Amino acid sequence: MGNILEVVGLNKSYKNFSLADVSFTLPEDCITGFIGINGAGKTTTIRTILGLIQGASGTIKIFGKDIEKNERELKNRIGVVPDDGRFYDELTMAEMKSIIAPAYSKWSEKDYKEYMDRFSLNPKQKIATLSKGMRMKFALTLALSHGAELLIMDEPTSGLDPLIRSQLLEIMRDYMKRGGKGVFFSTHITSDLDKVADMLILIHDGKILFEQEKDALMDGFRLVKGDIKALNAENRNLFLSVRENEFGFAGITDKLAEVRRSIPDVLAEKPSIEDIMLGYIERGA
Amino acid sequence: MLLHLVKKDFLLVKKYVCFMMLLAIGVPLFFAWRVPAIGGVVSFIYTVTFTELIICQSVAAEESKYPKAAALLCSAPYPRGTFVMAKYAFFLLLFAYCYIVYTLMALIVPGIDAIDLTMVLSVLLFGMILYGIFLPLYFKYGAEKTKFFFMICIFAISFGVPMLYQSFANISIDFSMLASIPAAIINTGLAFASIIVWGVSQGASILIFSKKDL
Repeated sequence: MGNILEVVGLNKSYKNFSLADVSFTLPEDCITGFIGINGAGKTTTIRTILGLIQGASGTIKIFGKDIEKNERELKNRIGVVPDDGRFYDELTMAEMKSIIAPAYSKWSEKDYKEYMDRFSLNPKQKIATLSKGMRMKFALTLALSHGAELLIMDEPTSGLDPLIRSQLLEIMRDYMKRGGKGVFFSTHITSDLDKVADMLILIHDGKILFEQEKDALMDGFRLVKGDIKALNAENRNLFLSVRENEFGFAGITDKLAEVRRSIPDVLAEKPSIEDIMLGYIERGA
Repeated sequence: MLLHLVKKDFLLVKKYVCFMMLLAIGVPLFFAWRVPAIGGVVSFIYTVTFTELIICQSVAAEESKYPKAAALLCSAPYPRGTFVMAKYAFFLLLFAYCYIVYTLMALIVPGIDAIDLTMVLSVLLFGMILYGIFLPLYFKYGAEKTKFFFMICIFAISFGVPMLYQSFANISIDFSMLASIPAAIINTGLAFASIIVWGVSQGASILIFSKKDL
């Protein structure tokens, strides 16, 4: 299994924010969740990958080829679903399609019509009149109608109702069934990734905090709950983060055996991706 | 690819297309009716500059409403250079439209003077200089700030051209030397100058746009 996307040493500085040595890889046949809180650097990273931000240092390879040297060829193989559609709202969907489609050498009118029908989208409808969910569906239609081998989605589920989010995840699963493809999916709604992601990358404050297989990550961590009186300076270090309230504490740890030795009377549960993400962020804060 | 991005500009201002078509017809008619003495090339200058400036400024204003749309197009395999070149191609298409309309009007309507190739190329150079300054500024500073350039041009052309025309009418200048130069050389010079202005302006716009964060 090769890598579809390789990002090495990406650096980009702004006045109040910088991407610092961002490096990660996306394996083939995997849905990779790119997680982090708002302002962590997810969109900046994606825009840099797509060549929309200038002056960033580092190397970006897609399908083993440098994006700077093979921009047109590689963009032909990528489907992009931006966070808010980024359309000309005064145009109809058919007009918008007539601008986007000629850019792709493998544009499939058949696929386009099938997705438009599947999503019940009327091509003559003005984009300004579409709901947020319909805009996302239209963006997805454009991204999937040219045989894209890598799908890059920036917060596609943000602000969508659960039904549309579920439909989107279903389409991602269908897309992956075709083989030899990859999805890079940024989100701060980690519950969506519980269902579909194979890999997870956490970014915070412009730095990558982890890059790991989802199942290994979930198996490696436990959410431990116990009596606050049992906590001391030494066993606190066994936790990624600890939250305390009047009823006790809840902490994320990847050292369950050691925690149990130190605090025998604890309850251990499988954490959610959000628990682990917040654990890492709180430890770093 | 280029033509589809030109089409995009037309689609963005589709609601103004009728107005543009009427403007290109209306200006020569107005000159023939109100100031027949300064018809011909002056009338054509007004037709071209007003039509071009109004439509191009409208496209710029529409683009500025959706600043992230350029990012979507550049996420697709549209090179940034093509995005810029489409704006220049759009200008040339509008110029061609104005020329065709004016020529047809000169054939049909009495009082509208026909224009020769030298006049057409002179107006092309004039429009190219205006647009050649406007576009790099637009790519650098956006539509909001460059609309002042647009307003200055409209004022300058509205008041400047008649003033210049009157001034030249009162001064006797010896054009005999100019008349001795073969028209082919003048036309070649004008066409060459237009191409130089186009090339320099387009190069500057591509450079500015390629360094821009989208």
